[in-house]
Amino acid sequence: MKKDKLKKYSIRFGITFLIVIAFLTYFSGTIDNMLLPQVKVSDVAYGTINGEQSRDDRYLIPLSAVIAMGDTGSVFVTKTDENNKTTVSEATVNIKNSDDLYYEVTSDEMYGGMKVVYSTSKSISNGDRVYIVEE
Amino acid sequence: MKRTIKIIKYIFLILITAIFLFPVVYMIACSFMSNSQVASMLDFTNGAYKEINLIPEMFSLEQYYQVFFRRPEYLLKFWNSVIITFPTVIAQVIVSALAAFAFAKLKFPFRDKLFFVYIVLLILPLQVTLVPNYIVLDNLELLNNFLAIILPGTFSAFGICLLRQSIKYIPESSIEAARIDGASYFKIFTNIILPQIKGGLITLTLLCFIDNWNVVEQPLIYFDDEAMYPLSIGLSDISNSDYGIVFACGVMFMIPALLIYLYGQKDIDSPFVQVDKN
Repeated sequence: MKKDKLKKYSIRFGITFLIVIAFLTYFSGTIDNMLLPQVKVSDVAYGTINGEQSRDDRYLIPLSAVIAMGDTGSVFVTKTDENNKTTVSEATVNIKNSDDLYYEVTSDEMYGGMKVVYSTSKSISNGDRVYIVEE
Repeated sequence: MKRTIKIIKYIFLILITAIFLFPVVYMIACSFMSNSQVASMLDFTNGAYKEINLIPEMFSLEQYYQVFFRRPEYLLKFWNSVIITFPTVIAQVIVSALAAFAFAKLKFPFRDKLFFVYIVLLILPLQVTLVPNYIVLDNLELLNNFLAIILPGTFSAFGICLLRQSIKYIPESSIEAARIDGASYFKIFTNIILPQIKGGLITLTLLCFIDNWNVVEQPLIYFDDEAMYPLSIGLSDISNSDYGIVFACGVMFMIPALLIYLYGQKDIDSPFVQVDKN
């Protein structure tokens, strides 16, 4: 009787275990994305606020994307790998000018075409994976 | 005096049990530790582990959370293990039982010589057959396919030898009686042989399951795509993995083997003859 009970529970637990693992595997991508910080991004554009030419590369970045500390600041730029997973890395910027919408910055760690995070649902730090929300 | 000897025996047995169980207990304990505690414990920079601690500083399910929700690649590897193991076990048990029946009870020319060849195959280490298998699988265009592991695993000499020994214990008279009653060999196999070698079948299932569940060499050689690797490789590749996650994966990896053992635990006591224990 005891032996039968052990067999019965082993089978039940085994089937339940496989079903749970199957469920988690099937929905792992969805669950993973749901748990990631959801961010909104904007393209890094070359340019200056007053439209003048500059010797060094200047970028226009939305105000909300820059964590400013005086003349310097930092931004989070996104990077997507071959598995379509996006991570953020922190880049330092030098603030040259600003208006109501943009900071005009220079940076050795940035280039045109990059995407900067200007809004996030959770706090993020260097190397975190994020989910980009389409607008 | 007798009592003292008994106590010493028990202490000895408890020590042996503790030594054997320690890796499992350690793995389970580490799976509930935070990643930082595991990483600091397993800091191997000076050629020795800093400490071995079985009690988490702070109980944490972080590793399981990472495995089940954040790192789906480990779950996919788990399913690769399932895809490799279950068909191999089922096919090997069927093929071995049929072949063992033929070797034990049917009379045909060169039977014993052929069985001797099987014994020789059994003695050969796995590594010897890896390269010939690779060439054959390459010609069959089965590399980078799960069949590359399932097919060679199906025709295992070990299973045939084990079940042949089980079947040999069945008296010849019961088979002759069935033949006189008009039973075909297939009927004899299903109605007389199989019920009597249940212990042997469960033993083979368990051993075959463990063998294939822990497979490492074959996927590394036959698969180019790392996405096809089973979890056994993910665990053995510990130097490139996150330590904490490896322990949580280890627990997940252990559960199916443990359940199969619990299921067949009583039957594998008697692999050669079916004994009524009631």
